[in-house]
Amino acid sequence: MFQKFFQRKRRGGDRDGVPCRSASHHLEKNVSYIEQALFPSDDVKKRALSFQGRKGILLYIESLTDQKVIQKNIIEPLTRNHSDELDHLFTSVELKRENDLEKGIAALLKGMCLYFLDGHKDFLVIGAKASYVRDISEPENEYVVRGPHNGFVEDLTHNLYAVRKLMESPNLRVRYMHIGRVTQTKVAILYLQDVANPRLIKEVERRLKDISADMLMSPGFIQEFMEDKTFSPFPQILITERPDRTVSNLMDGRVAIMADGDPTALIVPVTLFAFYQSVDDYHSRWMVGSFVRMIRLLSFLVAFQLPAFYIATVSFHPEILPVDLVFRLQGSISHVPFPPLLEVIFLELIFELLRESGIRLPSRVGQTIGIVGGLVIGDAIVRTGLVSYPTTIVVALTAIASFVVPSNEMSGAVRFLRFPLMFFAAMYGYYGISFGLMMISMHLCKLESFGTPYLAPLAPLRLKDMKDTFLRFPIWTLSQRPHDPHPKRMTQETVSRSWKRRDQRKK
Amino acid sequence: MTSEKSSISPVQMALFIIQTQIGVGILSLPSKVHMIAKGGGWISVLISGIVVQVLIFIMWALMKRFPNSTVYEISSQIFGNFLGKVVNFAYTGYFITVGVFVMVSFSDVLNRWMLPKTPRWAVLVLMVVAGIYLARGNIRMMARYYVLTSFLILLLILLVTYGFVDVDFTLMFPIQEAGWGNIVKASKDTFTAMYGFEMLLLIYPFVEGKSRGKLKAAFFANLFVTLSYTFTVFICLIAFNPEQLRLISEPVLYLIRRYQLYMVHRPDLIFINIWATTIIVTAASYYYAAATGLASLFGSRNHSKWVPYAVLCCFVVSLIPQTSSGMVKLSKFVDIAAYVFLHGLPLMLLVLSYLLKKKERGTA
Repeated sequence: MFQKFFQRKRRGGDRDGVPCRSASHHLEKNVSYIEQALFPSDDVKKRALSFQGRKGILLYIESLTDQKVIQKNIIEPLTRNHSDELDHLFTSVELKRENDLEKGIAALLKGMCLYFLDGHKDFLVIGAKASYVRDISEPENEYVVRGPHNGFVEDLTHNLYAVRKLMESPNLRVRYMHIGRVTQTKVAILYLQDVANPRLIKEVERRLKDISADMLMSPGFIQEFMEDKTFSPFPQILITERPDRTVSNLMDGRVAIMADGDPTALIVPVTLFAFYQSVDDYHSRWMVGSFVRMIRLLSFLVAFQLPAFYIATVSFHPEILPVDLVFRLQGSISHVPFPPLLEVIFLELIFELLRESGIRLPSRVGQTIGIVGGLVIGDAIVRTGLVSYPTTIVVALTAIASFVVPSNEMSGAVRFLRFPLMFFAAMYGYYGISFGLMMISMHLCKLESFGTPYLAPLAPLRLKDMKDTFLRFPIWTLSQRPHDPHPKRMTQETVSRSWKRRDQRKK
Repeated sequence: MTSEKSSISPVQMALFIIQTQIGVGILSLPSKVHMIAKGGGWISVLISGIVVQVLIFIMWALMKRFPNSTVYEISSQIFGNFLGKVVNFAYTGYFITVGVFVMVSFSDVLNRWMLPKTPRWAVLVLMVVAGIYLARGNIRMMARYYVLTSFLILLLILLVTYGFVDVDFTLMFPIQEAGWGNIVKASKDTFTAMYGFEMLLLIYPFVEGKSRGKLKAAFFANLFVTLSYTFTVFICLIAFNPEQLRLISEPVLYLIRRYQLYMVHRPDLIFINIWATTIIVTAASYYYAAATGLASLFGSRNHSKWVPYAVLCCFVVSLIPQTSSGMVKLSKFVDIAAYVFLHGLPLMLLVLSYLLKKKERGTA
C-alpha cells in the first residue's frame, strides 16, 4: 500500500515537476541555454530581429512551424513597427509571456516561436503551428452503404471538429491529457456531461493517468494498458474510425478516447453485441436492419463453430446425418490421407496465410494472390488428394463468416477461437464442442468492461434492452438508452410520432 | 464492496435452484417410476414435488431466522464450535458425494450413448475443468451463467415436446393400476431426481430482497421443475408401452431418438449435448457447495481457493465405482444421505433453533 503510494508520488513528480529555470536579462544567455537543450538539431532556426533598436532573437523549429504564418504574423509586424507595446504588436492567436526557459523549450517542441528581447527578463511565446492533414476518406475497414462517408484522420483537432460538428451540444466535454513520458502524446477524453456516468469518467481518467510508459501508440497501447482483462481473446474496447459511430456511442453515455496522431476513437464500456452493430442497421429499414443483424450474429456462431462441428460429425458421429449424405461424405474423405483435424487445420492455416499476405501486398498484386489462392490452392489441392471438397467448403464458409463482423478486432478473436474448439471436437466429438462453448460462454460471463458486464443485456438478462440487441426495433420504440453504461438519463426519445395520433384523433 | 458484488436477485436464485435440480435423474425417471407406479407415475412426480415444497418451506423457515448465514454458519451457531464442525464436515461430505453421483451417472450415460470408447477419466476431466472455472467465480458470475444457460432448458423441453407426434393415450389408463400405495411409494424414487433445492441453504444469504420474495422464488423454481418432470414422465408413459419401459433405461433419450429432424437423424445426440451443459452446471453447484464447506471448516472466508480441492476429491472418488453394482450402491448411499441432510438436519436445526431460542443477532 505504502509502496504503491510512493511509487505514484514519484511518477507524478517525474511528469509535472520539470526543473524550472528562469530567464535572465542577457539575451545570449537565454538563447544559448535553449540551443544547448536542443543541440544538435539542425531544424532549430534562429533569426535576429531587433525591436525599437534593441537586439532581439526569434527561435523556432522549422519542421513544426508554418513559414507563412511566421512571416505574416511575426516578422512583418516587427519590421513595420506599428505599436510601442510588444504584446500588441504580433497578430498571432496564441500569445503568451513566459519566464521559465524549460517551459519555453516545451512550447518550442509544440510548434511555437520564442521571441527574446535583450534586457527583458521574460520572453514571448507565439503560436505558429503547422498542421498537415491528409484528405478525409471513408475508413477502409468500416465501409457503410448509407450514411456519412467521412472518417477520422491523424490530427486530433480535426477529429474533435468532426465530432463537435455532429453534436452541437454544450454538454460535450473534452478533457486533454498528455501521456507518454517521452512522446507526450496528447490524448482527449470525450463524454456527454449530462448523460455519462461520473463513476465511469473517473475510472477512465484513473486508468489513463496510471499509464507510465515512454511511448504511447494509440489504439494498441491504450487498449492494453486500460483493458480489464488482457488475457482474453475478446476485445473489451470498441475501436472505430467513424465519427457517427463515435457520436452515437457518446449519446449512449459511453466515453470516447482519442489520441493525436491516430485516426481511431476507443470507446468504453462496450458489450459483445456492440461489435455486431453497424451504422448501416440504423440507416436501412428496421426489418431489413434486424435481418442483417441476425445474419451477422449467426456469422459469429458459424465462424468459430462450423469447422469444429464438421470435424466432430465426420470423425465421431456421422450417424447424425442422412445415410446417403454420409456415403457421399465418406467417399470424398476416404481419398485424403490425413485425419479430418489435420486437414481442416492445414487449410485454415493456408487461408490465414493468404489473408495476412493480402493485407501487406499492394492492391494490384493482391489480385494475383486471389487467383493463386482461389484457383491453385482451392482446386489443385483437392485434386491432388491433400484435402477433400467438404473441407474446402467448410473452411471457405468460415472465412466468409468471420469477416462479416464490422470490427476487425472481434473478427480476429473469432478466427482465433475456432482452433481450440477444433481440437476439442477432434478429441471428444460433440461433447468437446459443448465443453468449449461452455468455457467460452463462462469466460464471457466473467468478463467485464469498465464495470459493465460484457454479455449485457443477455447475462445479466434485461429484456428492455433486447430491442436493440438481436433485432433492431423501429427507432421510435427505442425511447430509452441501453442500460449497460449506466447513463444518468435514460430517456432518449419521447413521442416523435405524435403527429400520427393527432391525425387519428381528427378522423 | 464484497456484499454488493456477491448479491443476486430472486429470479437468479430461482434459476440457480432450477439448474441444480434438473440433473441426471430425469433421463431414467420414467422407467423408474413406471416400475412401481405403472400408469400413475406422473402423479408420483407431483407428490414428490409437494414433499419438496414442504422441505423448501422448512429450509426457508430456518434461513429466515439466520438471514445472513449459510447452513455452515448456522450449524456452528446452534451446535457450538466442535459439534458444528462435525456437522459441517458431514455436509461437505454429502455435497461431495452428490457431486460424485452426478459425475458417475453422467459419464455412464455419455459412455453408453455417445463416446463408447472414451475412458471415464477423460470424460470427467472436461467436466472438472469447466466446473472449477465456473465455481471459482463469485456467486453473481455463477448466477449470470445459470440465467444464460437456462435458455437451454427450454430447448430441452421443446425437444421432449416433439415426442407428442406419436403417442397413445390409452397406455396411461388405468391410472391407479398399481394402487395408490405404490404411486406414493414411487415418489420416493422421483425424489432422487429432485436434489438441488438444498442450494437454498447456501445461497439464501446472498439474495436481495425480502424473505417472502425468496420463498416465492424457491417455490416457483420447484414448481417449474416438478411440472417439467411431470410433463416428461407423462409423455414417456404414453409414448412407450409397459414392455418397452421395462427394457430401456433412458426412455427420454429413446423418445427423442424415435424421430428425425430434417437433416438430423439422431436428435438425441443434440439433446445429450445440451443436457451435458445443465449437468456440468449442476455439478458446479455441488462443487461450489463443497468448496464453501471446506472453506468454513478451515476458517477461511473465500471459497474460490478451495474449489480445486473439492473438485479433486470428487474426481478421485468418482473413479472408484467401476461396476454397475457399485453404481447402485452409490445411488443407495446418496438416497440415504439425502434423507439425513435434506429432511433430518434442516428440521432438526429449525427445531433446535426454536428450543434454544437462537437467532441471528443484530440483523440488518
